[in-house]
Amino acid sequence: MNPRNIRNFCVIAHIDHGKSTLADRFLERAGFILKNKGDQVLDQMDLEKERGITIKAHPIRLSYTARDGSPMVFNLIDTPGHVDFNYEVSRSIAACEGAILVVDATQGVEAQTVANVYLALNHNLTILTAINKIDLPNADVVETKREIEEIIGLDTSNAVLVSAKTGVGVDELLRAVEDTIPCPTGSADAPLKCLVFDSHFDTYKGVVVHIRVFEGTIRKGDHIRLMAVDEEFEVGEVGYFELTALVTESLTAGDVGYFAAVIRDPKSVHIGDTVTSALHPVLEPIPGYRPVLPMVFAGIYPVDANDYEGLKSSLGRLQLNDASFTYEPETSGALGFGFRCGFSGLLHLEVLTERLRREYGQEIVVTVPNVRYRIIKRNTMEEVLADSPSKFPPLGEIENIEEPFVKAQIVVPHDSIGDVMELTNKRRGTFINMSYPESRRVVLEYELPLSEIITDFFDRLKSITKGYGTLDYQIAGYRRERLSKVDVLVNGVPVDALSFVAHEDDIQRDGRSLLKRLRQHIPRQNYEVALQAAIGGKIIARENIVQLRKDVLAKCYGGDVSRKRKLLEKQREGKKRMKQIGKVSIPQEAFLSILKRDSDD
Amino acid sequence: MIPTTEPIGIYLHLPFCRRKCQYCDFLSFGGWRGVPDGYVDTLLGEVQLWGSYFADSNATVASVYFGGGTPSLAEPRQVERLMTALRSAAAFGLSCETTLEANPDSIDENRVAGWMAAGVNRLSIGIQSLDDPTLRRLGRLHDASRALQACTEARRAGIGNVSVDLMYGLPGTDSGTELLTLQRVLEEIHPDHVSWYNLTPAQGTPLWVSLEEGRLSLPEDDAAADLMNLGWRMLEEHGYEHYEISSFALPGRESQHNLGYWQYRDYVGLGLGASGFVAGRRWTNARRLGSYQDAVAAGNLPVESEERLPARRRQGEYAMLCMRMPILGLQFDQFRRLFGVDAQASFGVVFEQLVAEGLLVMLPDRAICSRRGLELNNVVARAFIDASMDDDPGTLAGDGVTSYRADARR
Repeated sequence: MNPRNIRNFCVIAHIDHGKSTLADRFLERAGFILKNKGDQVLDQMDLEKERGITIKAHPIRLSYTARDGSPMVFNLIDTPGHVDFNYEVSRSIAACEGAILVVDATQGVEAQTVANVYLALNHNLTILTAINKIDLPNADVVETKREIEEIIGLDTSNAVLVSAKTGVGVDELLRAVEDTIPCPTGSADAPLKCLVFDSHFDTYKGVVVHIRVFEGTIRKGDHIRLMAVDEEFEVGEVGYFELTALVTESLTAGDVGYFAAVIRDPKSVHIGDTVTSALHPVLEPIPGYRPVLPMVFAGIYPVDANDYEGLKSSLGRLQLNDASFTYEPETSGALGFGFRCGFSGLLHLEVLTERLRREYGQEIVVTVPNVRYRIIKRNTMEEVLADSPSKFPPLGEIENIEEPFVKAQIVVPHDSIGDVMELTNKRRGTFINMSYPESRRVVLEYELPLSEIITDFFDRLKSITKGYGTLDYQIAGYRRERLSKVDVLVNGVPVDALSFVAHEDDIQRDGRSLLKRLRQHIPRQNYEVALQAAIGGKIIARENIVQLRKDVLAKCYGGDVSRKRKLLEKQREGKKRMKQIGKVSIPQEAFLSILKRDSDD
Repeated sequence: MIPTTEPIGIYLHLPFCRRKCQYCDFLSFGGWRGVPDGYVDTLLGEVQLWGSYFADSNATVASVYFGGGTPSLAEPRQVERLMTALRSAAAFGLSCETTLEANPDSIDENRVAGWMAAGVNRLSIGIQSLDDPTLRRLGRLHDASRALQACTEARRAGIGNVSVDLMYGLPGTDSGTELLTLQRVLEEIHPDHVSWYNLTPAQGTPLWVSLEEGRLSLPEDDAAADLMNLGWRMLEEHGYEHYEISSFALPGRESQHNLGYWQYRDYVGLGLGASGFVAGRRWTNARRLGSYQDAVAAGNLPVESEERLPARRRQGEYAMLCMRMPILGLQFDQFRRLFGVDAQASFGVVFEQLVAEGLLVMLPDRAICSRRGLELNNVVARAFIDASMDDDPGTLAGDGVTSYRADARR
């Protein structure tokens, strides 16, 4: 296709602002018949629907007829809509020349939207504004335009008024895409240069790499090189996506599509990498690539040790489609054999653990998530990266500990500023800036330790702002903090799964709170059980579980014998699922409740 | 040569009450002023169905127990009909212990004399408490003075063996009141036998609902543990032998019928929802009156469910029951007689482990619970049940007992 007849664009919108419905209208205009009106084509997984976010989807090629009657191709590239997937969003944006900003006329501009628009502007994308849901009685177009102008600073004089639900304005919007968004540049004859912006795994084809071709041509049989990993493959198939994948002869400069090259290891394919020709390589890759580093870590263990292999294969399958997820075997004295897993953020962790449970049917225990600490060792000044408290060197060998900080933008209604500031103070936040882009909302800028926002910060923020608060953050680097690793001991035996890292000002409180919860969840035993929190060898908190004094069934007459026996048999089954710490049996449920951090803490 | 006989028990369920108590989860119906004759007729029919078993086995009835419900709602003539039928169907031992459960509100001198004439020689009286507010909370129909009066009248009728049921750990009652009840019962009634129970709220009962909804609350675990121990001590100081977790008797006054349950003797359960245990098979009768009566009318045993465990698991169940008895415990010769193997061979590891934990004491001829083993009886019982399930159930030593013919149910 002549690049002049191609338009590559993405849609930037906040959750529920109607992105997927709009995409459905585009598909209909392009002649696709959507079987089920309720199913939004771009969002594929149940989980996404429930959470209203797009986690993974593929680009779609739409056929369109230009004003002059010539055929055109519109490539709609979907973007994940959450803070955890910032880098992936930036790569999708980098594959486009333009973006449609969709703003809900009943909701106005949200923090996430602002961040992504800036991301698009940084990549020199042409932004086309669409004000959606104008069919609703409470739509306020004037106020929404004012917000877009004041908060984002975009001119709204050409904004298209749309109702994705009824279809009003959709044709005008598509026409605006043709008119306003620049066509791609680049030559089909130049050396090959493609951007990898996504991938998925296919059992037969291996990794299917989603690409935007910037220069040159890619066709079956080509030898290509993935520049970041410096690996070469022979292209086995080239194609593009409509509702499903369609094989084509070649993709040329300006096109969006995919290739497959029997790439068996998903680790070979990095989002943001550049694909070039092995014979005539370009010298410079497309800028902006960085390896996706997991930021949040947690142990994932099977509830039943026999399910270890099943869990392992499920994790492997998850990773095939999600290279930003990492896992490696880990052994815990308390939880047995499991995996230390890395995620790009807390939402990523939640989504993947939920998928493990629902789609793969795994019964799992997930330990408290933590960040990756940087520890400088005494004397040698050797640097140790610890993604689990159990990987900390002994206390005596530690010179200091650093933890990752983020720069966070928190948009809240003005009447909850006080509460939000209190929350950020509790979470060791450093105030940077406050701005009032408009009368109803305030943008607070803070620097916060990542560890403080990966537990329940977002939930707390939502609850104190009655749902109106939004959060966006970027990693701002490591900072040295006064941190300590706290061990938890049950009758003198350390329970590695319960170790945690906390700021020195909080260790007393956090230690006591954990022991209290532990005491509530460990049943009284045949003997007294001591619970201790310790730093190095120093005990900082202690609780006792007094011994069980009475465990007896009062009556056991003729009709009770079977019932009583069955009760004991059932308790035995329950005991099988208990974890033994020394002599003490801790029910699985206790671990789950203890690991679930209380929102009051 | 004298033929050996097997002592068995017979349980008859009379599921009728004037009113159902707040804590009761037994199979019983409130709103009755007496036991309907139709039900007695069905019971008689069920006795007939057992005729061949009684005739063909060498079983001798060592105990009869009228349980409920409120068996004291039965008229003496009804008890008489049932006893006569049993006596003609089965061989009775010379001194068959015959117990009737009675509530204080349906006891008087004449009725007791009538039941005695029918063969009853032991009354088990449900006093539960001598604190009137507590009795009201429990939904009992009597007050303290009626309870004491009932005992006096029973004695006056000449009954020689009186057992009293008392509960502790009751909602809204303080420990002092409960201990005082126990003391008054011991000193004013002088019962031959006392059952000192911890109230166990059963799911679905009105009491359980009240507790769930927070209208009533139970004493703390530690308070209940104290009460249990203080009660045990008081009973022992008054000369009662602690022969089962909740059962205390003056010497020689142990409930022979209940001992049968715990010593794995056979018993035949008759009546609605009654349970039985014969030749290693446990069963429960139909719990719906219609099904029960239809089955008997059709000449079938009204069995609703039954189970027969493999020998190894029966050993565990047996040990579980034996461990309830601090004096008799698990007797090694009985174990060998029942299962054909040594207890030591079956449970040596469990014995060792429980002794090490201070829960069990090994004597030359038996294993008995320590005081702590009684307090934590479920821990002890679980150890035996665990072992009996861990092991390969394939060994069927002692499993050669054949089923009886009377199994003519549908």
